[in-house]
Amino acid sequence: MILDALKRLFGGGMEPPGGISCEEAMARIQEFIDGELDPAEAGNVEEHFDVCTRCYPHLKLEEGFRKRVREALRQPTVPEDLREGVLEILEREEKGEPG
Amino acid sequence: MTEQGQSKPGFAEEALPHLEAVYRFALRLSGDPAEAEDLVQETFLRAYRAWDQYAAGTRAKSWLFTICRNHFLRHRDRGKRHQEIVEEEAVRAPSPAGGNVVNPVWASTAGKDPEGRFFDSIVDDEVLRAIDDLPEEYRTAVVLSDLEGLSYQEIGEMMGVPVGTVKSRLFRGRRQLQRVLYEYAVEMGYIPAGMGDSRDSGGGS
Repeated sequence: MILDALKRLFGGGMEPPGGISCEEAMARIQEFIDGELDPAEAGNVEEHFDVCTRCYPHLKLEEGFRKRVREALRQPTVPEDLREGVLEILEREEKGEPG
Repeated sequence: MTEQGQSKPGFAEEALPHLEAVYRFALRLSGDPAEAEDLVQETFLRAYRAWDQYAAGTRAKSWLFTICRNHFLRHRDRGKRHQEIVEEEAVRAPSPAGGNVVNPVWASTAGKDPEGRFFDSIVDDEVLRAIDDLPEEYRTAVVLSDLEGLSYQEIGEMMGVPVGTVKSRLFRGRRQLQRVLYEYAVEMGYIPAGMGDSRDSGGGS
């Protein structure tokens, strides 16, 4: 497998990593990270990024960005009385009381 | 919740576990904790009333998000958040031939912070502020994808748009977010200012 990768890197004229060009790999970064590619295509894209030193940092940048956004979005704490408030309203609804 | 459980079978088990997720979504929609709390109460009340119409087996969480967003959009304060887009002139996703595949932030940071470690230096409030400043259509897509992990298909069904539009909104929203966060990081000195407007072609193979 390592030999294959080296061949792809240095064997001029051979097919690019994963069988796709850098441009094609870059165009699929979003869908790759979002898990929207079919398994075969995702495999090709992954192989390309694993092997291509030029494209790899682009993937890392996108992943770092996503991680940061996800962490920030999870951060806000949920009010303690949120559940109680909702249950109270549903209770009133159940009894036919005006909200 | 016992009484509700009796007249609306399944509601307590299927809908209520998503209370926190709906709150986080509502908070990003409204940008205000008190408003988000009201939005959650309204969402669950509407869901409760319409529970008989809920198709069992579909994802309750997506359904609740839909109710929440619809209610928010109908009642949002016009003017406050109303500079929304969105007639996307091109709803198709960026194509490999589109010349738009290389992240402009990468082009600016290449050589200094190629893997974007500067994102880790930015505090949560600043990231959230940047998210809140996105047009609603982008913001909703980003939150549902990055926080909730919904698929393009699910987001499209929720927002009433085709998958291609979801892809496009996510792409544009994330690019806008990255640009804002990059500019903030430069301003704060987390990374040196850009090296100019150089663009990497991205083509190496």
